[in-house]
Amino acid sequence: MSKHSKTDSPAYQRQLLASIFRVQLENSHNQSLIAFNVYSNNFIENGIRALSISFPTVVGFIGEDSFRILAKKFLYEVPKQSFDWAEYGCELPDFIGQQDALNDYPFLREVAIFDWAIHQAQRVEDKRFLGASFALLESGDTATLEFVGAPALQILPFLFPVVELYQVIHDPFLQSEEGLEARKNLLSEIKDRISLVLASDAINKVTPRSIVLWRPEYKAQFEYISIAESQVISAINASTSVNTVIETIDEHQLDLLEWLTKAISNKLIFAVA
Amino acid sequence: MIAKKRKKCSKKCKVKRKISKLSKKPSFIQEPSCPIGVGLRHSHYSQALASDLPSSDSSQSGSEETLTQIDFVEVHAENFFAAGGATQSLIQDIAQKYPLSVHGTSLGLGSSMPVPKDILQKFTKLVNDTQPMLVSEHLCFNRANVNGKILHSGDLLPIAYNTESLNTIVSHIQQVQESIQRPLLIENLSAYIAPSQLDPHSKDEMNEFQFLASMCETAGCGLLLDLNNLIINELNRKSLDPLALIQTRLDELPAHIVGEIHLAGFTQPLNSNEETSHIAQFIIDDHGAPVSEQCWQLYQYALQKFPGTPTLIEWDTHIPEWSVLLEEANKARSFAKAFELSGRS
Repeated sequence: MSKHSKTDSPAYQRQLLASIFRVQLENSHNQSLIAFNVYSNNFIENGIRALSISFPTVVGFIGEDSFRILAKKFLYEVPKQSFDWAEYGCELPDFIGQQDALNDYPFLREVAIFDWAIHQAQRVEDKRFLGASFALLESGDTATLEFVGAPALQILPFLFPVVELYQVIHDPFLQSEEGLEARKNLLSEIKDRISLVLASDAINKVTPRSIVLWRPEYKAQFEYISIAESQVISAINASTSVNTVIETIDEHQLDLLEWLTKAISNKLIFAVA
Repeated sequence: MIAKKRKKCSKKCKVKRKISKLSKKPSFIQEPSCPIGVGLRHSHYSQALASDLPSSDSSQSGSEETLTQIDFVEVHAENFFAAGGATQSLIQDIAQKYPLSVHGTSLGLGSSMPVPKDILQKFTKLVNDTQPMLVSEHLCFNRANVNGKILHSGDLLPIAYNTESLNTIVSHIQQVQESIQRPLLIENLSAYIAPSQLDPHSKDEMNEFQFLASMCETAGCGLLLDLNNLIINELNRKSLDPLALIQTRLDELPAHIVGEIHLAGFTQPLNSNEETSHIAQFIIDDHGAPVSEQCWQLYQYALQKFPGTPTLIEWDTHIPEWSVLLEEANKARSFAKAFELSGRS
């Protein structure tokens, strides 16, 4: 018969976890627990490895050494409560925003948000693309039918040029000798946009740009879209009827056929159901 | 209502009977020939899927044996827990090409907290989807309620070898076995502390091997015997003759519970600097080197005790070329073959 309730943990298990996380146990003043550094070290190394997988663009900008320092601080500040390391880290973007040492990277919080969104998108449940179901748009009741969005379909607003920042780190062409000029031009565009955002005030307010993120196959895709298009996708994500989506398209004077053809060929929408 | 209850009970009883039946004549019981596998990690996925390894059967036909072959691969369950995406397709490709061993690292069956339903569901789904030849987890805990929050170490933390721990882990193993409808193998752990160092009340009441034997008999599970972990523990305890000590302990193990053997190496500790001095006194179980000489020696002893047991080469850090990993597998196979031949003559 266990001496502990289901929500309680034996003293030893609590103490070892507190030691690893460097948490002072309530009603305890035992500082010597910090001596068990093998496990603490394992925890930190595993955590750094996991976070660098989830936030590859952040690593790309600040470098591995600085990322280690950032991740280590984060691991002690935000205790891991998830089973899977892949599910740990959603608080890192805001944590980055609070770090004075990263003031030279004003865009880094948004880059981290983008990294996390891509990381999560690549893990969400698969859906089947049902091309034939689009025939229902002609034969079915569009008042009750809905568009089925691609896995992870979402709209994300960003002030900073995160798409370009992502490309700078991950596009192999931009890292190559042939891509040197293109990289230079892109960096110049990035610099202009960052300056614009940083100069933004009440009078010259910079508005966020919308990015649509979705996963047509195994790799997440993303691109900037207009406010009109983002509202159409929001309507799809809100599970409104095909009729309502079409009304939104009309409202914004988008070409329905053009929009639909693009949405299907890019696998932004997977089916009508 | 009563009928419904009876029906439920009957279903549960059937599951229990099935597991109990399996545990008496487990599916992991030794085959005459010893299957040799390798831990399949991310950096080797493409090569493992692209390579055209000859099967065990074809290698046996010639007089000059083709040794470049593996009989199964082990994957870490958590790497395939995502609901969808590339990893789901990848695991199906791997399962089509190789017999699988699904090795869990996150269930923390020795934790006093219940096994979370969602994690168990993911684990069960993976087992159901891939139909592996072996399913294993660890003799460890990994989470606890600290100041009202459940903290998760993401690590394999040692448990006390006492009745309370035994009851906890047996109940959790049985829960998992009921869910996956087959027996689990539980791997012995490398540990850097004894629970009683932290809490004098968490005393061991039996030695590790007695605990393992009791756990297997009570839960109806098998043992994944990690020889490297046994060696590391004894080296860290500064035992005078680690191999002799382990061999004596292996003699005490009921042979029928051993369902798999893990072989690995470890990085020799470097001279400590300021940053690493706090851990330099320990050999860390990093699976970061070729299988150690001690481990090969112990493997040859284990082959006598547990012949035909599926054997796996683990290499998780400083991962070498795929070909180097295969060479390690070949070495294991040559030991196993030599033992088989000596047994026949």
